[in-house]
Formats: sequence, structure tokens, C-alpha cells
Amino acid sequence: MLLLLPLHIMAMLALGLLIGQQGWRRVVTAAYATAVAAGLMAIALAYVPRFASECLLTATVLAGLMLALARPCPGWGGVALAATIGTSLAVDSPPETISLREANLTLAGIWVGACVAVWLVAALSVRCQRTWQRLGIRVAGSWIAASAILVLALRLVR
Amino acid sequence: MVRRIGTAIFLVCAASPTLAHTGSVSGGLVGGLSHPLFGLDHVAAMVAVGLWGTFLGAPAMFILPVVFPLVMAFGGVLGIFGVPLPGVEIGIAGSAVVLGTMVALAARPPLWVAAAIVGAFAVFHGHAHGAELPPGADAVAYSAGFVFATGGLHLAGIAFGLLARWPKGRIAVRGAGLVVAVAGLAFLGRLV
Repeated sequence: MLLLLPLHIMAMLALGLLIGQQGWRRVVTAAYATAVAAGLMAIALAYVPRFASECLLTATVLAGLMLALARPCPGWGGVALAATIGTSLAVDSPPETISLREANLTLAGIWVGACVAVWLVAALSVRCQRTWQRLGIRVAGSWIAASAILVLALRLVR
Repeated sequence: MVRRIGTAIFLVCAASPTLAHTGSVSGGLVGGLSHPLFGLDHVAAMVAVGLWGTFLGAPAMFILPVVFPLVMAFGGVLGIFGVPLPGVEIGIAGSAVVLGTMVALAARPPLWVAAAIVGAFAVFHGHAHGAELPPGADAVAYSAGFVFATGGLHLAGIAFGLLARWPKGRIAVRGAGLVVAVAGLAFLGRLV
């Protein structure tokens, strides 16, 4: 379900595009993969998340705004953002299965899917060097930020 | 490289999902995508943003479609929180009149003025959308859908506006602006 949930898709898309736009790639991608693994480990240890979606939405808003502004951001900012998105995305993806073996397999699949999806988007984003492509990425960032802001507001109201 | 990425995307999409959530892309996304398309006043104003952007040229052509959804989201937040905004419908109809007139006159104000005008009207559009945002698990897909539909209308305006590179196309684009402005006046007439 990880790759079909609109919120998760938006978050991974925003992070992948941002990694490519900022040219962060290795350190930030590694931080993201580690954070997803840590989040999934917390799920395996029966951690019950609170406000995971809200945290993910806030990080997605930030990522979308950074994409739209397209201003250079230091690597540590990228690491912090990737860690936040990775952790909250992982803890927001608890497997619905009773069997321990199946649950562990599902968590492993989520890790692979989450990492591959962001890596793919980042790899494509890095190749977008033409002016119209870079502007397109900024426009996409503004759309992602706008969507996430609205949903976050909706969550806060309830 | 592209082929390898394509294969990887295919494999990721083909993976069997775990059923941990109840939300889906289909219902909410389709509803959100269709929502802005059923309001002619919305459609006219959104297309006019794209048309005006092409008249202003780069970077306005791309900055206006970046500014609009962000400010629209601010208006949407006001709508979701139930903050009253007087004259929302008049503001939406007025946006079609003003933006259409700008295109018809081929007005070329400084970029910040254009962004301020577009942003001011975006608040009304966002408020209307935000107040109508449905509750439930599909809210993410719905809001993403209508933001993307709004962006699509901007792109449609930009695509048509590119005709302005040729003399006859310029007349056609300015004529389209006039049509939007007249339609906006008709929307206003119905409200008053």
C-alpha cells in the first residue's frame, strides 16, 4: 500500500525531486534509507505511532516549498528532512497481518519500495537540467506543497 | 539508464501491496480532478492565468502557476478552518473579469504586480475549494486532484497562449482574454 497511498506518493516524490534538484544524492539518500529502516524497526518492536501522518505532511509541505523556491540548502538540512520523511513514512506503514513471518517480509518490502521509489525519482530529477524541466520541477513542488497544506489543515481541524 | 529506470518503475508498480490503509487514489483523486472543471468561473480564471503568463513571458509564465497554488492553499486553509471571507463568489467571478481584461489588453505590469493580482484572486478560489473539501480518508487524493487540475488548466492556458508568438495567434489569444472577461461579467451579473 506504501506506493499507492497519495500522501506517501507525494512525500516520496517531493523528497526524490528535491534530492535531484539540490544535488544532495548520496548522504541524504543514505540518511533516508536508514531512517526508513529505523522506523520499520520501531514498528517491528510494536511501537504505536502518533501523529505520523501529520509529521509526514509537515515535512512534505517543507519539501514542496523548498522545491518551489529552488534556493540552495545545506546538506544537513537535507539529511534532517530525509530522516523526518523516512521515519514518519515508515511508522505510518504498519503491516496488516497476523503472521510474524509475513509481517517481517512486508516490512522488508516496504523498505525496498520506499528506497527504490525515492532513488528513481532522484535519478530522473538529476537528469532534468534543461530550463523548462527545472521550472517544471518547481511547479510540481508548488502543487505538492499546496496539496499537503490543505490536507494538514483538514487534519488539524478534526 | 532510462531503460533501467523504466524497468525498475515497472517492477515497483507490479509489486503486490500490503493493505495497511483504507485510502485510495481512485475515488478522491478523480473527484478532486473533476471539481475545478465543473465550475466555469474557475476554469475561465485558471486558463486566463496561463494566458497572461505567456503574454508576460519568462519567468512570469512559470512563476504565476507557482504562486497561484501556494496562495490558493492559504485561502483553502481559511475555508477549512471556517474563517469567513466576504464575497468569495464575487471574487472568483471578478478574477475572470480582471485576468481576462489583462490578457485582452496585453497588459505587461511588473512581475510582482502580476503575482500580487493573481495571488489576491487565488485566495478566493482556494477558500471556495477549502470549504468544499470533503472529509474522509481520500482527502489527500482529493486535494492533490484539484490542485493538479488547477495546474492543468494553467498549463492549458500557457499552451494556448504560446500562439501569441505569431501575429494572428496574438489576436486569437487576446480574443480569448476578451471572452474570459465577458464570461466573468456574466458570472458577476448572475451574482448581483
